Amino acid sequence: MVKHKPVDRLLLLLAGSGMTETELREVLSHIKDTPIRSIVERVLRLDPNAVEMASVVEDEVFPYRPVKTSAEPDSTDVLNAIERLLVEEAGLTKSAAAFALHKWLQVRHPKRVVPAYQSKDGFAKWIRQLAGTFSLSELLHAASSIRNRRAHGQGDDWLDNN
Amino acid sequence: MAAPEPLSPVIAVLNMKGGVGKTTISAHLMHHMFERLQKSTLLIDLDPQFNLSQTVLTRSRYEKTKEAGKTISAVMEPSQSPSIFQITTNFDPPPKDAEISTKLKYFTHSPDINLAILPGDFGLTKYSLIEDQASLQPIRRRFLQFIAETRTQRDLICIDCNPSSSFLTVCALLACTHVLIPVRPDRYSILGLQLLDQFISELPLLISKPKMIIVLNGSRRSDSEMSTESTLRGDGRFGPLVLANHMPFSNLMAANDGYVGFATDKKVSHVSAIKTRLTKVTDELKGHLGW
Repeated sequence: MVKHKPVDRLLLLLAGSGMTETELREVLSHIKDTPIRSIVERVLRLDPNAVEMASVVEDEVFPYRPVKTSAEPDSTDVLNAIERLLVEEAGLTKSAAAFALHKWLQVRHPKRVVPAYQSKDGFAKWIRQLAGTFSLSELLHAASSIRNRRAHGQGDDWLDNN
Repeated sequence: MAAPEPLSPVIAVLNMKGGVGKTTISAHLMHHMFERLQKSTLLIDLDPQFNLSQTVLTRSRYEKTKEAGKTISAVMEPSQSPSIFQITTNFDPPPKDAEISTKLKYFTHSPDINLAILPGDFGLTKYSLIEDQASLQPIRRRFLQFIAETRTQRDLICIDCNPSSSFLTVCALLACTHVLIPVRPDRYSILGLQLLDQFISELPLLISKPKMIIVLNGSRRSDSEMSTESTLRGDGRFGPLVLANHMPFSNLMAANDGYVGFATDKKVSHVSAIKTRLTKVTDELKGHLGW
């Protein structure tokens, strides 16, 4: 693949912009009269992937760009909550927590393969592996169920339904 | 021959208890979902108190819309009756979504992808005052026909319901594919969830049961809230239905500062933290909707 120098790339962009010779001269003249810093700031603010939106208020239209959020879902806090439920709240060691959770999932979901816990790889890594087979809701359900059984006497006779 | 496109999901936001965040979810979560996933979305305010409409429309805009007959009442009946205790007997087909909904936002690159609302109306109250249930059947059919037609035009319909076992709730349950149930981590809203589950299970008209999704509204802060959340998540019936991610609890989304519009459009510093949480809920919900 031919690699273009930065100036060549800009010239190619200008060539593909569809501008007339007059427009091109106007643009270059404008750039020549504008401080470099100002141009750099304006270019950096432009995001070719940003989505333009319009908000309709009182029948008037206001264009704007929504603030971007991460493209990838982050499940770290949910996975931390599972560890907290089993280790801190249920008072289990990590090995005991892994044993209890593995057994619980095997019994409730016999058709799914539950990854084995390898203590040398760590508890957090194993929970992440489980998240490949079970939904985060299912894992929180399992961890909460184990935690609730360990924490006797914290039930509510209106709510308990296990 | 290619298989027909599946119809769009219809979410009824419902809990038998009030004050659990139904309107917050219908407005702010659905708005965030629209922006993030770029799905053409219609919000329907099916609550006679029309708080959703008050959240996203200014009073003057709402009044103009109502004057033009562009509220949910126009879907239920062809024209307003002379009294709130009477219903119309002459039924035409329902209006089209594009004719009566109020556009709130759209993507400039594709204006068809828009977020619109069908505002609520106090006139809906009359359906809870009419004792002759048979006379309400044409209204229910008309509403269901409107939903069926709109499902071919939109990617998502979200119905904000009122917290009761009323005619309107039955309409929403018959129309929806999913029931999104906001729950505050307190025992009373969980009891409201149990009542709703019983209502859905035992409603004879509801042959095809909608999929239930529970979302916790607000973070665990006190020991009591943490314990209640664990009880819910550990519950054999409801636990697996609870989304792993919470709705953020923020004054930014509360209807107490006279602000009209979407919370995440506010120009305040902590809006990005709320967006991050809404993104997590959106991404989880997306999977449940088959997207």
